[in-house]
Amino acid sequence: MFDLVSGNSMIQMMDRSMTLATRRMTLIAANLANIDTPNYHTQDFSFEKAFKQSMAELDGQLSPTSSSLPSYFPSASTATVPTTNDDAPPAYERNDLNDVNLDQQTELLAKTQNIYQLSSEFAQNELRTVLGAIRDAGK
Amino acid sequence: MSTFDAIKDIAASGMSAQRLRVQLAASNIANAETTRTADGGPYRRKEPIFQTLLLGETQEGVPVTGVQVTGVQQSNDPFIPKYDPSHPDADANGVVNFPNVNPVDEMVNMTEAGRSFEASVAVIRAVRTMELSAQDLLRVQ
Repeated sequence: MFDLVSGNSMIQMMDRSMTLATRRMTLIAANLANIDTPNYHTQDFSFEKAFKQSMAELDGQLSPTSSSLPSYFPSASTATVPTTNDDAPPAYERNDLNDVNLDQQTELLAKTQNIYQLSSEFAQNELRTVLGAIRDAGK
Repeated sequence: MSTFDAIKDIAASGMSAQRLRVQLAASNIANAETTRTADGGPYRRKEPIFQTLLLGETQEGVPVTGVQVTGVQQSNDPFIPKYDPSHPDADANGVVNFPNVNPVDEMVNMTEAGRSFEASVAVIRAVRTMELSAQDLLRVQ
């Protein structure tokens, strides 16, 4: 059987980008919920680094011969969890050892949401193209 | 736990913690002049103690860290003495101990709680938009 989606690098890429965006969103939500918790440290990872890593993994996997195997898809949404947890600069204006920065986190929230939507938009576009190709072939 | 649900749970925990904080601020402001309590003595300022709460893990192993109020602390700051000999709770010197509540502090506290609450609401709003755009993927025509 033809597998038009898992062999498509565009859709694979966008899938990973969306997975990473939701992952980052979980951390941002935790940071914002704990904005007043004493001793709490900001949790985050570098989206760019994680995405590049996913891309490198994907490049290894996307060989045309393996794309029609049924077992091909398993790692699609289990891209490795990036563990980079760069220390945020301490907030000197606070005295509760909490380093969450509301403005920075809000900006990240909007950014991550945009990344997700953009990826979803690209994936949808690609799916449309695939569908168009199928339709044209039927004519 | 689905990731979107996990994010909403986190935001909800943040919202309920901040709501409790506003509740305590309201109680402090309402009782700013209360000189009699069930425990005896004037009212003492109450403040919440926030602590991280591990709600579980997402399928990918990302920790889901919410927040909870583990307790309410009564402030041991000194009471505010006022001279008012006609007051029924005045001591031998005519001094009445009023609660250790500073209305300005409470106002700041409430504003801060409001901002933090809004931040959690913003998270839920963002997640909703993300869910909608994920659903849009089904609409390929």
